[in-house]
Amino acid sequence: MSTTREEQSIQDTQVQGVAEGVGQSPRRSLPAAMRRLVRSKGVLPVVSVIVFLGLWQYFGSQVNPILLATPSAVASAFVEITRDGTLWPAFLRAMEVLGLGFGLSAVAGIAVGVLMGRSEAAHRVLNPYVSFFQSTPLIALTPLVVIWFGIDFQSEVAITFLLAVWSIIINTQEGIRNTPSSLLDMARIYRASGPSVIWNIALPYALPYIFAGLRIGLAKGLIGVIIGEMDISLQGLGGLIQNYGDAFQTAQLLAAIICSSLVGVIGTLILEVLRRRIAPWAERASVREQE
Amino acid sequence: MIDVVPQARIDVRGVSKRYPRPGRSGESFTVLANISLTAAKGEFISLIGTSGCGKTTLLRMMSGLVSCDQGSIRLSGQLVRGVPPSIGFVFQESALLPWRTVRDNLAFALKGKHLARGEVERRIEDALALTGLQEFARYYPHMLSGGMQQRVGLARALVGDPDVLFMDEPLSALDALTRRRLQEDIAAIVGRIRATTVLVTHDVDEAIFFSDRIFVMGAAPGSIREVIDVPLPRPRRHVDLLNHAEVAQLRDRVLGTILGLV
Repeated sequence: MSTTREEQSIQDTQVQGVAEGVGQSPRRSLPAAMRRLVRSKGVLPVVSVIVFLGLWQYFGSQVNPILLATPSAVASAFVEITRDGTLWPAFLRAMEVLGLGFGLSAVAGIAVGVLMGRSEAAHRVLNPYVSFFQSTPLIALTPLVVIWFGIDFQSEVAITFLLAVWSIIINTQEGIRNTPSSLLDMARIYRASGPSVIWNIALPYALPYIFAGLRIGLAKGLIGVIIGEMDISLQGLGGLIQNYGDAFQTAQLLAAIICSSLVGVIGTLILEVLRRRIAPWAERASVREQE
Repeated sequence: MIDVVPQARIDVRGVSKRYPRPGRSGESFTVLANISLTAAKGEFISLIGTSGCGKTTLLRMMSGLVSCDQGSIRLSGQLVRGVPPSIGFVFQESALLPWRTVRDNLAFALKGKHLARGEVERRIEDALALTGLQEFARYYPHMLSGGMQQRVGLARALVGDPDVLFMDEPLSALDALTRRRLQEDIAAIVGRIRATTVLVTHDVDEAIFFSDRIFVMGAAPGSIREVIDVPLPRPRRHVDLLNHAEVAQLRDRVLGTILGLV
């Protein structure tokens, strides 16, 4: 029996649908599967990285290994310095300095930020200093910090703290100050105490801002960790970076640098997990971040 | 001209408010000039007028959020200086805490009263039952529609058993159908507990629907142009007021006064 063109194309689609489902006709289903793969979200980043690594490998092998180590060389250097016990203690040390330095800056930063956000007087008194330090290239303070705290762990924690804390203060303050006046009016009507307003209204409202500040502070603090270790104690990942750099061991150097990125990634992931648990009502994208 | 009623729930006398004009001239702009009004216990009054007539400012002054430059306000005989105890306020934008459930939002309003745990629970249950929100006690505000959120705002205003209930255009952000439904619900609730209520609205029909008396205000300077009685029994339903001759007359009168035609 004859079918109209429309009926024929519907039949074709149905056949193709069955084929995709059951996999009976590989020639028909392959293009469809590939199309789905190409459209999926993870493909482009993965392809981009693969292409990048390929190009790096190619050009790296043409060039003096001191200038640019290939990905394969970096990978084997990574394995080597992990196996011989160099990398892991350095990684741990960097995490310790970051954990302590950033942790202290988070506590102090949030506390001062809340104070400056709630009290106009506190804001006026402290703002000149916050603005000053926010604008200063704080790494320049390293020699001074060393004079005060010595050539070791405490100095690096201090540097990390100093780099991280200002962004946390500023973003926390911004969040507290942006508390909607309707919520504050409501708190007055129902006679909430000052501390109750901070704990139940201002602070929860400011959490997205606070987390934005923490993310920035973490990145800046990590800079402090690495440079501190490079310049002050020559230990930890910064120490490895400095030493491999001095010795022109580029593959090991790149491995150490990648490891320090990992520290940052882990820290950011921890913050994100915390944010989801503490402030699930907040959407990441909606907060304006202040550097 | 105004009788001073000794047992008045609300007693506003000669109240004025000025704001400085922007710029350095030192001139000020009078938002409210010599306002006086009273409301008896259980009465429902509305403040209505065009923008800028000071109705919201007056409401905020009566609830203690804003201070008077001149004159005095008394609630239940007590002078209002700052926010008085035991009032409820329904905001236009719900002002619910997004990180707390409906139940916990109501609990927040009771914090200042330092009640026993059992008493807090009982009052919350009562308020939820009164406003038909029992099922939604554990919901978060973002899960509720605008109308439901305003309902929660009302429950919160009532949970503390307030002397006076203030409502600042509580329904203007809602669509017309939801608004009508909520108007009837609010009228029923307020009628049941006989709350003394002050409503600010720009909607003439809404004012007539709810009020015992309507205070029509005018701008520049903010003052009360006329006080119009609505002698219809409360609580009212929309179906009863449809094609009601007296309602049509009242409507003309209120609207006319607002527009300066009367």
